[in-house]
Amino acid sequence: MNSELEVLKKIWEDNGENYFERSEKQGSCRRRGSFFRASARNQGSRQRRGSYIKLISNQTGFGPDYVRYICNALSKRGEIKPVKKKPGWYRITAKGKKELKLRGIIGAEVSRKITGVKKIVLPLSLKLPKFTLSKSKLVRREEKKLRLGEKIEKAISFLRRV
Amino acid sequence: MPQRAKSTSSGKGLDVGTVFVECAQKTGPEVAFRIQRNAFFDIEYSDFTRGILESSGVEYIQSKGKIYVVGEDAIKFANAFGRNLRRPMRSGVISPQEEEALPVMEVIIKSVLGVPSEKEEICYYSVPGSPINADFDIVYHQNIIKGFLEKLGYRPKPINEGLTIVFSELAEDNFTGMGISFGGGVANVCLAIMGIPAFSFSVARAGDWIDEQVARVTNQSVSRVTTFKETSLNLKKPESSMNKTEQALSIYYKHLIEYVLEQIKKELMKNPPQLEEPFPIVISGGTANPSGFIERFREILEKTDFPLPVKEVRLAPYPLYATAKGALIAAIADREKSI
Repeated sequence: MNSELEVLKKIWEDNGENYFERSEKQGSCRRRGSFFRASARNQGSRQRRGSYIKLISNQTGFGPDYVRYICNALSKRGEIKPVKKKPGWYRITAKGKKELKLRGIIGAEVSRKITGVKKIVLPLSLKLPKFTLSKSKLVRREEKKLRLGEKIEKAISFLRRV
Repeated sequence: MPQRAKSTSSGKGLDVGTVFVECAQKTGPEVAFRIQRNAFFDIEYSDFTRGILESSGVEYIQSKGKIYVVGEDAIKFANAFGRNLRRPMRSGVISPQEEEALPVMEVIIKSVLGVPSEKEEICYYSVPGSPINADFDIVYHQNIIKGFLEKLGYRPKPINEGLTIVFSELAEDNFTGMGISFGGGVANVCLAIMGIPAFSFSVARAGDWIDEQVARVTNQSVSRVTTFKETSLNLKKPESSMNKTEQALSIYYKHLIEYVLEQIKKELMKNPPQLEEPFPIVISGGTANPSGFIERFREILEKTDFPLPVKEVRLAPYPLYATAKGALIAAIADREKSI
């Protein structure tokens, strides 16, 4: 998966699409009953505010500047949009979700009932092959390491003398 | 014994070749060579095609209703479709015939170079010498590559490809001798005396020319011939046991070496340099990679009435990487000088 898709997916996830599953796991340890359900619903609505650069950076391992750069690019394409009055916060748009679906990263239906989450079908992305497009959308290249360091040092020292 | 820390030296060497683009970077006792085939292949866009490419892990660029498969995968597609590869460069410089040359080149260069390790990191990039048998110059090419590197945050400096071979392989000869790089688009020649070029030029006839001629006479696609040449050619094989493609390759290899030596001879006759001792010749480049090339070169050189005494002819230990290595040496030396 390339970095743009990875960031887009994180924004989608952080937007609350799989939030209920996480909160249910956490809640089941600490909270029970109707209090949890109300709390989860409230937090669910709060989640829709979006995701922020630092969080995405932590989740993906990309640097914040790089995430900001990707977010700008995604935003220009209309796949995400900035959250009002919250600099550095973004939320996914319908176009962004469509892109993820088209790529097969999400294909899942999240069925939600009034009482909370009952069933979540995991996205198909787990079965997809990993793409090696790295941070700056690089195409794959071959790399070979040779122990030529000493020879190079020697050549440089000769070159200095010449 | 304490282990030496792996520190990345600042400065990179970039070989902008017609067939491959390579980057050399020193990390402690190792030098990392990142290599990418300088080629692409276009397919009409459809969601189905895109899906197929993605599920096969093939990387591509999408633009204007087309999908461009870039790098090594492109040659596989070209062979599978029986079509020729598209190449952003021709005869050592950016191809005027390819509309998409510039964006593809930019992507390829970015893929091997990556981001600079410091602000305005020095990057020496290879440029061909002025061609002696073709009507074009390298000014446009040199400036376009410079622009790409500046955009990536590097401080670019051009270096003659022939001179990179001298830097890479002739340190123990005091950087005195001749470097010849048999690349894809051109053969670069540089005679240097103590690291200073006495003359340098390029001959616009090299590996691509061989492939085109062989493809024509054997009625195959150029990509197929290229693949065969890179993977299976052995010039040591007796001619009687060669197949049709091998025979044709052998004939054109011989012709190419004779032609390049003839051009060198002409240049040497024009301005004969005063050398006290016989000088070494080092050969490099992808076209010199097949087994038996160096023996063939020596054989033809012996038959040629060469105007200057030659001490020895040798093949660079890593013919594909010699240019990038030479450019890296120039970059590190330049950086150390400026500190």
